[in-house]
Amino acid sequence: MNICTIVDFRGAVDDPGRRLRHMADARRAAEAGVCRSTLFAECRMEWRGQLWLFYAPIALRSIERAERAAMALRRLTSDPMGAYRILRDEIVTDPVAGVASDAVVEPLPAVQTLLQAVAGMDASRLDGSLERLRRRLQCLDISHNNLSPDNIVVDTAGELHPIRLHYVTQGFGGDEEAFERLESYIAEHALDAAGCLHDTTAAYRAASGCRPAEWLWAGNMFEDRVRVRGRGGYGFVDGDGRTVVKPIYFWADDFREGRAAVQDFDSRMGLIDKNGREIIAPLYDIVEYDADTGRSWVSLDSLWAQFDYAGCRITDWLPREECDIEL
Amino acid sequence: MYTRPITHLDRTLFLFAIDCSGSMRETIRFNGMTMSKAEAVALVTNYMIDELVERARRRDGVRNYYDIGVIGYSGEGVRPMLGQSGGDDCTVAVDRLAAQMPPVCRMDFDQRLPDGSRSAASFDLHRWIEPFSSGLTPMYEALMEVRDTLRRWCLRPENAASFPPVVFNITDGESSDGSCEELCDMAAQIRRTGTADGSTLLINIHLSTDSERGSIMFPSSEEACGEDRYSRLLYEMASTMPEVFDDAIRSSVGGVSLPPYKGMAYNASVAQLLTVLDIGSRSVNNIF
Repeated sequence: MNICTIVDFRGAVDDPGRRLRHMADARRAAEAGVCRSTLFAECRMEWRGQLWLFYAPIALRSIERAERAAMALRRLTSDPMGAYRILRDEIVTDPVAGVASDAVVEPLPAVQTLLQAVAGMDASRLDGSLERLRRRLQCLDISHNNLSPDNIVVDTAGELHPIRLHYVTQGFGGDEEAFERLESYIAEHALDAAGCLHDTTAAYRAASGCRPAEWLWAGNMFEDRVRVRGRGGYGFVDGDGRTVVKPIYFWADDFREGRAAVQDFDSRMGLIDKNGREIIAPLYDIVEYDADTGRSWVSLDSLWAQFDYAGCRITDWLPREECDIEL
Repeated sequence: MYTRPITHLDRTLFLFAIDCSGSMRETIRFNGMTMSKAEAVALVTNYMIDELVERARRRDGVRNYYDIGVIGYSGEGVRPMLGQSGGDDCTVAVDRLAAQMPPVCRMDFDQRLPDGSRSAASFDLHRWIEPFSSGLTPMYEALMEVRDTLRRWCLRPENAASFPPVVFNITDGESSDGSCEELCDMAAQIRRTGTADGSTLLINIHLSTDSERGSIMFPSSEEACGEDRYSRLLYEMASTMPEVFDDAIRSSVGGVSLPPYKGMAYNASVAQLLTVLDIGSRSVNNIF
């Protein structure tokens, strides 16, 4: 089995006619980028009138994992997930030596992930869709084993479909904790019924897409804040498109529970609140904020200490080995 | 050893030493294509840097998994060739590098396939470095600079437990400032640097005009390198690949050779090596 490099994969999706075998007549979907997880590089492709997620193995254990998933999915002839396939020697990486890499494809029922869609959707409707997804997996007697808002897409009817099926195993029950987390996630991030009466689309668009002259890039909305990149760096705007944190940071994370990690142009990290106030001043090598506990692990000169939600240090500075750090 | 995952908390270093001497104007066959050695060096280096940047890229941006440095050596001396940091350090953090992506350049080649037919091939690569060739080959001095850079990097407390640095030396092997013994000694000094997770891996990529021989990656015997004395010297200088990579190398090269494997390639890129490194493995599952 030959493993693909990401550069070769990028070349293949840009030139499928010469670099792919079965999928030579496929083409890269509009605005589809190449991204990676630990095991696979992936890209959306259009092939035979349908959207597909096309994967290249970029680690040794990738295909082994895909083979197990394909084994569990191959019997699902009545479900779209049954179309998950390994294509042997699909990506021609070296035509001179005749070297090719395996690839994996699966149908993509929709483009928008739950992570992207949740902010504009009705929580009770999503709960119903989530329950139907659970029943679907139960009927098929499989576990996805990697369900998360980023690995579920939402179709135009509001139905949820799992994607990135590489961890699927036969037997239902492996996703129970994930379903609980998803329920909490929906409760926290989706709109309640009253909220749905207000159309937030315009505000969202104003924040994320309608300021091309000022913003080079805009992310998704989290907690009424959209991460944007201007010429001076990263900052945040609110749902009305007003700048609440000037674009002065080299990097910034999205807001979770009212806090976002930031990094300045001297590589110093800190933590800000939704108004841009520096809760932990950007003076440190690493700030790892945990939204579940509200605490942050902070590193300076190879020593670590924990800070509370208000930005107060609550432990001594210690070597990492002496700290109970789960990062 | 050699098992530490490469994360933004335990970063590593990829350092390229590239031969830009006058002899790199020679034409060679590389991956089925005809080009100058200088173009082959640029191709290998740009390919590997592109791959490293892409491997650090996640949905929310480029993670700071490693530093990258390129040291060029030629008649104009030994000099850093990538994103000058301004200090005495020739390395750049990958996220900073990704923030200054150079333009993409399509490189078109005419390949001859094994059946004799011709096929057009193209690569879209960012031009991190340009092909360059001039003057003598101060490889010894360049390796000294590599050694000193490694020592500085490994001495930093935050790097003490990281996956050890990986050095790629891309050359035709014809050094003008050091004897074989001196070069082997300097290579040994480089291999002795490292972290708690292992010694630095020195991987030589030899570019040769010998058109009779195909590409070779990770040979397991000196004979596989042929009779060329430069090939043998580079074989001698290279690291013996640690056992943990044996399965991956066997899978990658697809041959019947047995370990131990040498960290060497002949007229070939070793970008596949990056597929066996555990880069960013802690995010196996997408962040909830």
